[in-house]
Formats: sequence, structure tokens, C-alpha cells
Amino acid sequence: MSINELLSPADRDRIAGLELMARQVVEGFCSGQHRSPHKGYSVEFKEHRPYVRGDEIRSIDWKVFGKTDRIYVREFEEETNLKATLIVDCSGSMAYARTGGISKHRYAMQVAASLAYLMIGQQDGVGVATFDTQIRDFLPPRSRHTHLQAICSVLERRPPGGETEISQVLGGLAKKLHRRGLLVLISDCFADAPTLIRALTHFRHAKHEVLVLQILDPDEVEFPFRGRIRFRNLELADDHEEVDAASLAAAYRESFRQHQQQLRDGCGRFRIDHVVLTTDTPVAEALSGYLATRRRMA
Amino acid sequence: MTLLNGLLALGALAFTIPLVIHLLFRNRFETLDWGAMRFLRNVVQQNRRRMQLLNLLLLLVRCLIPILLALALARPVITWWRQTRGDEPVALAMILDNSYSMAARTGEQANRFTAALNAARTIAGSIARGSEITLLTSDGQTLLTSPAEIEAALQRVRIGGGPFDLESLLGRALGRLSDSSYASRQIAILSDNAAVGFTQAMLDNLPGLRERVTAVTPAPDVAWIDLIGDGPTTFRNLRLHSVEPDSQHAVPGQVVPWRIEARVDGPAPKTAEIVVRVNGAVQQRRKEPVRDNAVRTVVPVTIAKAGRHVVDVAIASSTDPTSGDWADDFPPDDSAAFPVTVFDPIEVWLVDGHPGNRPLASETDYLAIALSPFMTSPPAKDPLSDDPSLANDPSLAADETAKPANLFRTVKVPFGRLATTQREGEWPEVVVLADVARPSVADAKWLAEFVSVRGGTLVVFAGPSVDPAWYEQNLRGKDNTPLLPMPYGTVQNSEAGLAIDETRLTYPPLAIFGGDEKGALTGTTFHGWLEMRPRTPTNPADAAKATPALPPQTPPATTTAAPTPGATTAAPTPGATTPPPADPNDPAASESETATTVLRLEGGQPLLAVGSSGTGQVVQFASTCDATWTTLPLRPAFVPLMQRLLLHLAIRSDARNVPAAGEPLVMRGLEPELTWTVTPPDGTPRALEAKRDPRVNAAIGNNAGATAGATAAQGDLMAVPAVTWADTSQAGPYRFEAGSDEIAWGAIRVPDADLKPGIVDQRTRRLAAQRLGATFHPSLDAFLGDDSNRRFGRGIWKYLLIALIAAMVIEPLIQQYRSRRG
Repeated sequence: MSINELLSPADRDRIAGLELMARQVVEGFCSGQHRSPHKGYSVEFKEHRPYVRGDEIRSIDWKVFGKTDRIYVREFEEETNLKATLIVDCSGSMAYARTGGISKHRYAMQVAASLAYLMIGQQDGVGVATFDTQIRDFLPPRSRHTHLQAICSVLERRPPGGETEISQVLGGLAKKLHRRGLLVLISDCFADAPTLIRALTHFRHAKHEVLVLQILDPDEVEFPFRGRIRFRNLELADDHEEVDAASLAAAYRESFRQHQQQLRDGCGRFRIDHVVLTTDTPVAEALSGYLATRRRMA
Repeated sequence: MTLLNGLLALGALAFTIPLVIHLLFRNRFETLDWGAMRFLRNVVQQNRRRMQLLNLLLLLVRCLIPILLALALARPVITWWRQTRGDEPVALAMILDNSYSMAARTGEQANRFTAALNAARTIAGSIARGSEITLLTSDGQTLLTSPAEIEAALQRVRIGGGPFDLESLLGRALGRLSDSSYASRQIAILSDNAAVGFTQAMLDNLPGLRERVTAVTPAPDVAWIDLIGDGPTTFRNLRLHSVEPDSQHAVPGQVVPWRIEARVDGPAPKTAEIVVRVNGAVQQRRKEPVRDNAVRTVVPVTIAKAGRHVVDVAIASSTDPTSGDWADDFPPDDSAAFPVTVFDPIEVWLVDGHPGNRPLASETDYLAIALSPFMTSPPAKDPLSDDPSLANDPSLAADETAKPANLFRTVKVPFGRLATTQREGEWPEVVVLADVARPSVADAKWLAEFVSVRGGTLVVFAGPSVDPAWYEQNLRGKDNTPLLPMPYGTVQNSEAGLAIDETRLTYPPLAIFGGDEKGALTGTTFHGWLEMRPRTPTNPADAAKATPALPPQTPPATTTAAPTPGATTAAPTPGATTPPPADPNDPAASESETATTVLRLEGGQPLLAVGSSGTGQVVQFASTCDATWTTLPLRPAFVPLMQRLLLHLAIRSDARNVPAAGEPLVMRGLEPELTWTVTPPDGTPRALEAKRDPRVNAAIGNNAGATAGATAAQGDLMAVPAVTWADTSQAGPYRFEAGSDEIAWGAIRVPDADLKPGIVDQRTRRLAAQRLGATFHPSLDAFLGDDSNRRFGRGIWKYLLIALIAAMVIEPLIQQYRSRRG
């Protein structure tokens, strides 16, 4: 099924727009080649080290032996392609959109497409997984250009709905990703923060690099509501709360702040990048800012 | 609880408006699909109960606002505190202080009395129509009135009378209320609470008064209404400090200088005007500068006719524009009236026991000079010469016509010719027997009628020639009692001489020698005298006249012998009794009913005794009136001593004794049988009803004090015809008139206590009210409010209005709090 068949012209324009935005980001990002932690035979010398028993004889640098009369082994950096997996939250909470704004799900798709476009342009493999209470779609990482359309189709095909079970989903996904790589979780992270952190640490233990892109709507941060409002749960039908919004705004903001703090602390503790993206910020701008920071920190 | 505007209470149903709005909007919600339910649910769990309470509270406040508004407009009255039916007539006794301290100006009203009158009107207007009001004033008035007639009663009350006597007034009020048929009784005290009335004794008596109040059944409620508060902070007062005439007595046409001093409390005006009136007519009007907060001047006063007159001195801030707007805060001390007796010279007959032609050789020469000092020595005395501090003050220059005059006219009558000298209908005022050995029988009879019937004054001087037995036997009054207050005894002498005992000079005409002229008698010595012994009932000869009394103490340095020159000792006279020594400190030792020793020698020997016989007076000296036995006639004090003594005995008045307002005015010397009309200071003539009131006379005697002099004064009073005017609430001159010829003037002064208008502090006022068991009301409005509560119940619309305002403030506060918490 080609992308033309999958998407209407409007959809294709939207995807094209996503590519365009990703391209703009990439132009400031393309300097990097991904280095492998495995030391082997490559073109880039890393270091000499003393010979130990078990080292291959062929790795001995005889020129150094001739000069110093000591046995050293040459080590090289291993260069490899990055295998990135974009894990996109498609739960009901991602459907929220403020008046006149785009939904978090739409924003998440733009972020995912941008990253996919960017990585495929770097010859890196990109896969995608969508989930709510379980993994709904999964595309393993590929680096072919045509794989981008497949990713977009998967993202587009899965509308937001249902509850969220991130910890369970991440547990299942860990079994599918054997090779260490980059995991990008694109979600609002409206789950129990300690549980979420615990699930992410599974990937860290498997030597994956984990990046959490938390997509939030400004309303969810500021809670600007006043008056008597019936809040209807996007994840669970027939679930609602009727409140005087003004009366509990402060308490909401405090609860939300504590959740964010827990997330920040947990991610920091396990060297997980935690990036908050609000839907009122253009995706290109948000990603370029983050990536610039990431490059400085590298 | 009752509602004065019951229909308006229906407005309370408006509380349904916010309730309905609340119910209608309770289920109206804006629906919003929301993803972050996780955080919202936690918050809702925590805040739901608090928000429900806040919402409920807000709903209650919103419902309360129309309810409170409606109730406040409906004027609810809570009747739980009501003690009586509001429209029930009451017996109200209003104790109205109209003493002179009430004349002090206050800030808001003309004076304190005006404030009290307005309070009385207001209180009378607040009680039921059929109520009974008793108005009791401090000047003794008791006016029965009603709320409808209170104005007429108040018109009859003016400032005057004596000091505010709460105990007396409460007693009168309780007496009135006890007779009342109304069950609801109340006493309202309207006073300025002048500090002078709040003595420790008064405060100590209040619990007793409280018991008297509670003893009345049913007991009245006593309300202590604080009309004035603490009074004004600044006080400007121009007051007469002293008014002193050079002489209390004068003869017609004599110019008498009056020294007047006024002082200013607080800020002073630049000038003051002094007005002197004689019998109501202006005689002098002067403007004097105010220096060092004082005004001093000397004003000559002349009275043309003999009689009893009044000199009225008044001072006021001058109307001179340079004085500016200066108002006196306390007018009662701006004026004072003084009685002045002007009489034709008093005729004194001198009967000389040893007449002679040489100067000062006869027995009565010294006395004649003392009584008529200006007959031989022309008047040259400058009235200011005694005070060098005033002599250089040109403003104090006295009138050049101010001259002293002789108050006595002396006539020497030969021995044994008293009866023949006296012309028909013309009697002397005083007869003096100076060392007359044995008056003739005709003279003795004449003297008996002169003293006992005609009310004359007999003065007897002792001397070497006097036959004591003859005097005792033949000189008797119409009732055959001895005329002499004390029988003469033997001759006593002292070579060294005895001085006068100056420690007990209380007899009015001699009091000056114990006061201003103290020491004037010092140095006077007596070498000889006749013994004088009070009469005792054990002596049959004295039984008819005497009362029990102790004989005088015999001085140790004296001897009972003839005054032989050079003799130092002598044996006691045979038959002379030696009475036990009397206690010189015991006043009773010198008094009897008819004889009073008013002057003594050292050691207690009587020197001068005063007695009465019939309507007359007898003065008995133990020594001579020439220099034979004593140096007294040679002393300067002899002139004022004899003048004051005879003046007092002849006219029998003490002009300095001006009764205070509220005390009876006794006009001695006025014929009580005449029809007298009295014109008080307010100018309204009134007929004199009680012409002779023994009780009043007794009261005067008591007021004079239990001293020897006072008793003599009492004796004088009982002997002299007098009229008494009891209604003396007004200070100032009183005119007594009987026909066109008989006119006399008396004077009443403001009580000294009322000349101090300072107000006692509020703590003491409250303490007094507490001890009395009275409810203290800090203002008239407070009393009216409390009284209204007592009778009608408590109006609570003010509190509801306060609650309404509070609710209107609380409602947005709750909203803000809810929003702030949100």
C-alpha cells in the first residue's frame, strides 16, 4: 500500500509539511555520525593499551614493539548506524487540544515524523511503535527512504483513544528491541511517575539511550479555567468531574508541579533526557532548541 | 420580640432569590474533554469538602443579606430585657441640682443648669403621659408635676440655694416615692458632679443611702446621669477675691473706702469694669486694667440715710473693644452683696464715779475719747497709708472726701440724775457706770427699766469705790434678779500686774484681737480688779439667776487685799470662799445661761463678762476704765476694743456674718409686728409670712458654734426683735419694706462650696453611682437608650444593620478567598 493510496492529498500535504519541517531541523544537525561503544576494526584510531592475555595477536602494534620493546595493542572506534525507535502515545489523553490549537497527538505525530525524516536522512534506521494500553503498531527500524512513508502511515492510521499503560507497554517493547539504540518516548506521560521511570530504567539497563519528549498542552500546565466545568475524561467514557475550576486551579497546579518534579528527578537520576514540549511551540523550533542543547552537552 | 414595621419583614422572603439562583445553576456546567484527569481527580478529592463548605457558606451569606435587610427595616424589638410595660405610668423623682456651681458655662449649652433643664424636659417627654413627676431641687423646692406640665415646673426653678446635698435630696425623693401609688418608680439624678460635694464622708454614706433606697417597696431604680462629663479643658474665670470696707458701720454721709480685689483664672481680659451699687442703685462704675491676672481698686461709698443697707459689688470683663471676645465661664463669683449698717451716732451716757475738771482726771475721760476719737482729733487718716504696696498705685487713690466719723455721741450724766436727764421717749443706747460707788435708788430703778424693758445696754466698770454688796442687793432687773452677770467680790491686786489671756478671744467683737489685730492687747497689765464669780445655784441669793458653773481659777500671784500701794501679800477676806480650781480649758467653766466670761486675765480670772436681763444687755468689767488699776486705757487697742464692744452690744449685729444661700436671713432689729414685704434679688416682691421662727433662731445659734462668744450671740438674738426670711435661694441684696418709711436691706452670699465648679473625675463618679446602687449613664442619650430598653425592650435594628454590612463585606471576601485558593 503506497502512501498515495493511504493518504488523501490533504494528508500528503500534511506529511510533506512534516518533512519540510524536519529538513529545516536537520540542516543544523547533520554533523554527527554515531559512534559505537564496541572497539574493533575501523578507520579511526582510538588508543594503545598494554597487551593482556586473550588479546588477538593481530591486534598487536609491532611498530610500537619495535620502538619500545613493549607489547601494545591498537584499538579503533567502531562506527555504526543508529537504530532509533519512536514510541508514540496514542492514548485518549493525547487527543486534548486547546481552543484554536492542535492536539497533543497531532503534535506528537509531527515530532515523530520530523525525527524520522531527520534520522533517515542521516542513514540511520528509524522504527515506530504506537501504543495506548498495549502496543498497537510497530515498525522495526529501517533506513530506507521509503520507510518514512510507512512510518507516517502508521502514525496517521492510529487515532488517539483509550487508556494508557505505559509501563506495561514499555516492558513488552523491551523484548522486541535486541540491539541497543535510541528510544524516543513521545507521550504526555500522564502516568504514575515512579512507575514510568521504573519502566524506562529497563531500557537504560539494556544500554539503550532513552529520550522522553513530554508533549503538553498549555492548558494542562496553566489550568486557566474559571467557572463550573464538567471535565470529561478523554481516556475513559462516562468518567467526569464537575468542579468549580477556579477553586481548585491552585491545587491542580501544585499536583501537576509535583508530578513534573518527580519525572525530572527520575530522568535525571538515570541519565534520561526529559524534554517538555508544549503544543503552542512550533515543532521545528522546539526540536532545534533541544537538539542544539544536546549537541552542546555532547 | 416584636416588629415595629412588621410588613417589611416579608422582605426576608427575598432570601429565596439567591437560593433559587444557586439551585438553578447548581447543575449547569460547561463540558470540557480533558486528559489530565489524574491531577484533577487528586485535587477534587482533597478540596471537595472544603469547597462544599465554602459554597454552602457563600449561599448562606447570600441568603442572609436580604433577610438582614428586611429585618432591619422591620425594626425588631427584643422584649426579654423589658422590666415594665412601656406605656405604663411611672413615678419619677428628678433630683435637679440647681446649686451655683451649675452656672458654669459648658461647651455645648449655655451652662450646666441649661443642660440639666434640657435633660429634665427630655426625660419627661420620654415617659408615659399619666406619669407622676416630682422635681426636687437642691434649694429645697419640691414640685409635683406631670410630663405635660413639666415646662411650667421647670420655669420655677432657678440657680440658687445651697450646695448639692445628695443625701437630703434622696431622702426627700424616697419620701415622695413611698407615697406613690405607681409600682414603677425611678429616681434620676441630674447634677454637674461638682468635686466639692464628693467628700470621703459623702462616699462613705452612699452604701447607707443604698440601703434606704432598697428598703422602699417596690424599690425605685436610681439613674445617675452624667450630664457634663469632665467639663471643658480650659476655664476662664474673673472673680471677686476680696471686698473690704474700712468700716462695717458708718454714719449718714460718711465716705467709707472699700478695697476691692478681683482675680482672673486662666487667660485674662485687658480691662475689667467694677460696678458698686448701694441698695440696687449704681453709685460707682469704674474700668480698671487687669495686671498680673488681678484687679485692685479702692472705691468710696457714701450712704446718706441711717438704716440697714446693702452694698453690691460686681465685676465683669469690660466691653472695651481692646478686651476682645472674653467671656466669663463662671458668673456666680462675679458679684457679692454686703450688708452695711448706717446709723445715727449711738448715744452713750457716761456716769462718772469720780468726776473732775482736769483732763483725763475723771473716771470716764479715757472712755469718752475712745468712743469719740475724732471729736478732738480731726480726721487725717489716709485709708491707703497702712499698705505701702498700694500707696504708690495711682489707680487705688481713694476719694478725698473719705473721712472717718464718730460713731458714738457721749453724754456725761451726773451721778444720781439718770432719770431726770432722760427725756420722754428718748432713751440712750448705752449707759456706762464707771467706778460708781452706790447708784441712787432712783437710778437703780431707772436702770432696771432701761435694761430689762427698754433693751438698753448697761456697762459697769469696777473700781476702788464700788460697793459690791450694794450692787448685788439694789441693782436688780424687773424680775428682781441681779443685773450684774456675776457678783463682784473682793479687791484683788498684783504688784507685777497680770496680762490678758489672749488665747480664747472668740467673742465676735473681740475676735479681731485674736486674728488680724493679734498682739494688740499684749503688754496690757492689770494691777487691781474686783473678783468676779459665776453665780451658783447653791447660793440662795443667786438661785434665781445663776446656773451651775465653776468658779474661776484663782491666780497664784494675786492676793485678796485692798489695793494698797506696796502691799505684796494679804490675808484672804473673811468669809470669802475658796472654790476648787476650774479647768481653764473647759468652756463650761466660763459660761452660764445668763453670764459669759468673754475676756480673762492670766490664770483665768474673769475680766469681762456679758449677761442679759430681760431684753437688755449688761457688760461687766472687773477693772477700771481709767488708768487707776490698769494700763488698758493707755493702749492703742483700747479705742477699737471699746468701739467694737459697744457697737456690737448697741446694734447687736455682725455685718460680716452674711448668710449663705439657703440659710435663713435674720434681720435683727426689725419690728416683727409690722407687715413686711421682701424683694429678693430677682425683683419679685413677696409678703413676709413667718415673722418669728424659734427654730430658725435656734439654728442660727447652733451655726455660730459652741463657743463663749457664740453663746453670747445667741443670747443677743433671743433678746432682740427680728424678722426672718427663709427663702434665700438667691444670692444678692434683699429689700425689706414695711410701708414707705421702714426699709432695710439684707444680703445673701453664694455658698463657698459652690464657688468651686471643678468636676470630680469620672472614676469617682462611677464609684459613687456604684456605691449608691445606681446605674451610671455616661450621657443623657445613654440613659434614654437604657431606659427605653428597660421599658420597651431593646431595639436591635442597629445590630442587624451592622450584621448586614458585615455580610455584604464577607460575601466578596469568601468569593475572593475561594478564587485565591483556586
